[in-house]
Amino acid sequence: MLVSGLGGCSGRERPSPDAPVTLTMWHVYGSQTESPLNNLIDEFNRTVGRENGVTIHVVSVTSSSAIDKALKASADGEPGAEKLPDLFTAYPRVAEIVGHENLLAWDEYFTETELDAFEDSFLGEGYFDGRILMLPIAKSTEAFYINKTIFDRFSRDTGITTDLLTSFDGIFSAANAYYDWSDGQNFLQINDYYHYAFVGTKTLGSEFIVNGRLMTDAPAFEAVWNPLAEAAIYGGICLDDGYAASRWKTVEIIANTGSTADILYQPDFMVNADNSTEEITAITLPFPVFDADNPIAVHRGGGLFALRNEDERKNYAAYIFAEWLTESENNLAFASQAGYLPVTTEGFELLFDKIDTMGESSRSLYQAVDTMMSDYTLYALPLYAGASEKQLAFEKNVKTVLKSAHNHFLKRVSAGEDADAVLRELTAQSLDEIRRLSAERGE
Amino acid sequence: MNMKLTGLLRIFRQYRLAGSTLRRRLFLYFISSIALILALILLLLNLFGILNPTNAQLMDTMESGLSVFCSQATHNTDKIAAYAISFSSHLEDNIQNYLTEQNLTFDELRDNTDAVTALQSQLYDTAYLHMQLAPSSGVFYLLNTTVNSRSEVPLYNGIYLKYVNLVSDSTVNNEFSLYRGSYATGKEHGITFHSGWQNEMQTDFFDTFADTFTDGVHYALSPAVKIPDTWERARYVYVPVRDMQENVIGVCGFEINDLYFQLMHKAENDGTAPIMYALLDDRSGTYSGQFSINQYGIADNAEGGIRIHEKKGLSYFDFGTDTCVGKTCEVMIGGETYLAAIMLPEEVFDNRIRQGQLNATAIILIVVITAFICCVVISRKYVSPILKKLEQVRSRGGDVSHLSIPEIDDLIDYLEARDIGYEQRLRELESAKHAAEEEASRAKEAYEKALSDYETAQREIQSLAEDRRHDIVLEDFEFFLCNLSSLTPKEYSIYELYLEGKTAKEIMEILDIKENTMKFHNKNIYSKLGISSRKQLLKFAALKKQQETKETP
Repeated sequence: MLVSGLGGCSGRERPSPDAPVTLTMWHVYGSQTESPLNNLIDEFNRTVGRENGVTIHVVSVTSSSAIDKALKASADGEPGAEKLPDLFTAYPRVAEIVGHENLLAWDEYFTETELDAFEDSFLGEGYFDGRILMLPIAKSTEAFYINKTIFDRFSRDTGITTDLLTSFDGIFSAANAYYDWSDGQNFLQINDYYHYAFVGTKTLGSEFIVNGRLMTDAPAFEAVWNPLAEAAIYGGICLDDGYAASRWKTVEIIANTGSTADILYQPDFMVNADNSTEEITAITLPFPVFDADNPIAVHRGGGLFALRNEDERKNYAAYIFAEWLTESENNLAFASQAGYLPVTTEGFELLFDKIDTMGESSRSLYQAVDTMMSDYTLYALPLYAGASEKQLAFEKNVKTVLKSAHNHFLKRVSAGEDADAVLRELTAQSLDEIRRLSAERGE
Repeated sequence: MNMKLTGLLRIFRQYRLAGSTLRRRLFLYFISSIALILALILLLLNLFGILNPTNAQLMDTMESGLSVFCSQATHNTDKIAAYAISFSSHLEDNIQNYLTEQNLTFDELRDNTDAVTALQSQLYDTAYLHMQLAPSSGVFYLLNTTVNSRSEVPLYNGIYLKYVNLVSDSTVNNEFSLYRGSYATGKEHGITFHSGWQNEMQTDFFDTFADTFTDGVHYALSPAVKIPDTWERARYVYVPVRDMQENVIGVCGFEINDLYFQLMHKAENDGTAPIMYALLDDRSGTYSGQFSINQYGIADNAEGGIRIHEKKGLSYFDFGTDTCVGKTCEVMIGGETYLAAIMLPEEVFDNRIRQGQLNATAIILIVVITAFICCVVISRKYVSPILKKLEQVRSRGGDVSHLSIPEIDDLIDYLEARDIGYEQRLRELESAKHAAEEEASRAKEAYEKALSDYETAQREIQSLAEDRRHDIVLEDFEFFLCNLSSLTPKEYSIYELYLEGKTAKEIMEILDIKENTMKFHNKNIYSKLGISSRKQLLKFAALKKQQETKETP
């Protein structure tokens, strides 16, 4: 009572060891094998959290799509849905699902000095209606991962080297060669065709997304579609759903594009059918380019949202945690363990100073990121109404169209038709099909 | 003691006799009133649980929470065990059917990759179905066989499916992954592979399962262990899988990882520090287990073993660097005794108790301070002016100004009016007194003269009366002497007996006469001699005798 009174006098009611609060949290910063953020949260709970009477209770470590789904179920009050957590990490698109008015505006709590410490471009993504509803806690970009153990064997036999893997054209060429060399195994999994189209089209000086519409009918799209389609229809690209990491383990693929955070998921061994295992040496390369003179990649990664709570102590507790998590040293520790980039300017500088002291896989990753930070232009995906649904639909359509075309290719080639002619025909058909499907959705 | 009591009583009586000042009386009345009001407030607060509610509420919450938790823990585990038994039964039938169809023995499955893979494919649906039914975070069966007996690490073969992206204890439509099982099984059923996926499970994970199931033990609940290749910890509810000869050939059951345990047993959270539930197992005097929340990261230290001791009806859980306070009760699960516990970090517990005490103290203080302020205000605004006025009355007599307190002003007016009446009356009384004194002086003189006249008259009357009495007595004596002879002999005898000093009663006895006869004779004697009493008779007889003696020479 007395504490409450004092808190009220000093502005905001705060948690304290005498009046502690617990915040539930869903986040995406962890794999099924490891969660660096959980480790950091444990540290917070033991130290600053305890001093301030704040406990962060992680009730789910999950994927961003699962969080989207669960948030929507909670917001819609679906039967069996869990109550919305006090804190969650997600992409900006969820602000629409939860409702801006239900989210805490971080700028009400962070001072200007504190906000100035953030990288402007990262912080900029979190603004909604002039308020910061999403606080960046870690960002990633995309990179290219390769199973060097298998690739070296492939390289010895074919003479194809990693030099070819800097551009998508080179990668698609290597993918088809690998398909032949491995007797029908996929070489590559592209984690996000939406990103692929966005970056490719932008490289060609055009836009993939205009006013919320996917410009599949644009010539630039055709230019980035055709090489992808040819490689996929030939068989070099895996078109199944699921995580690239598990396919690495069973050697279904040996390369993938993906978030820098995928480093957490990369297995360090392959498993054979008789349960014998073999170690994997993996390397990370910068995101493949469409044009060496104009390298582009997306920067991604959601941010931290907090539900606006009637209990002001909970709001303040969320700030205490967010402030601690984005302090340069903590943020760097979290980001570097999880394959992310820190979000403060100071953290960013510290990260690249420490590259030489990192483990082999992390060093490889951050060297690639360092190259990209120096040479690439990084873009955030545009946010618009229905972005999430359109992105998911596009992914599904690409896989369906190309998978179907691949199956037709295999049938027709095995029936004796000329492979190049069939490939050209199916590539053209696939373009028409993806454009038709996009048009059906009004894209 | 008696002396002291007597002394106190004497002081009290003196005090009562002496009377109290207005201020003192008022103060005592107020103090008494405050004490009474305070007592009533405390009584009501206590009745409604507002006075220091924290302790009582906390104890109630803990006891009821623990009771519910014990019941839930037992019920949930039994329920999962029932599914595990059903799962085992289906597995046994399916395995037996498969072996019969393939004309194989169980031992012949070892290193037979095709047969084991085919068996997995057949058993997958059973595992999947039971995973959907049982409230758990995963399902598994592990058989005492392997596709690679040459492996450096001994292995069990089987399927282990785990839910991923758990956000609720409801796992309807939840994604799941293949954590253990053949690659072919995963691909055939289109299952996502877990990040920590491997084909088979190391035997040390369930190294004692064959020895666990003695007679009467239907199922077992494992200790909480770290799941290999993940950051998770879990308990397992498992049952044996047997062959036709009742030999244990494997185990099957369900996983309850820490997250699922937390989702099943949500921590009590009243907006402050949540109360932690824990299901603990005894590890030779220390305890470890699963917790509903890792408050302040305390549960991380449980791995080293928690020591528990009892004090004043509470259990103290020593985590090494931290201590929690709470309650425990024993629960029987799968034939083993576990400790169900409910607890709070000691500092939080102490803070909440202290907060309750502070609240109660604050309430009492507010009441006391308010009452004191009331006393001061009333004293200043009410008593002081009265005392001041009284002082004025005393020091200046009647010359006082009004107080603007009608009752007091009326009283003063009344007293003034009464004073005037008293003075008038006093003057009248003094005048009357003076007149009365003069009258009394005159009356006294008259009285003294009258008294003197009276005494003179009395002396004259007395002289005259003496003379008259002397004349009357002589006449009566003459009559006596003359009529003495008129007495009858009997009357004369009585006369003489009187002279001898006999009483009437003695005469009646001497003459043997009755009382009435005696009265008759007496009447005649008195009548004839002119006397009225025996005394006069004796007097006259004495005179007669005197006279006869004078006449005799």
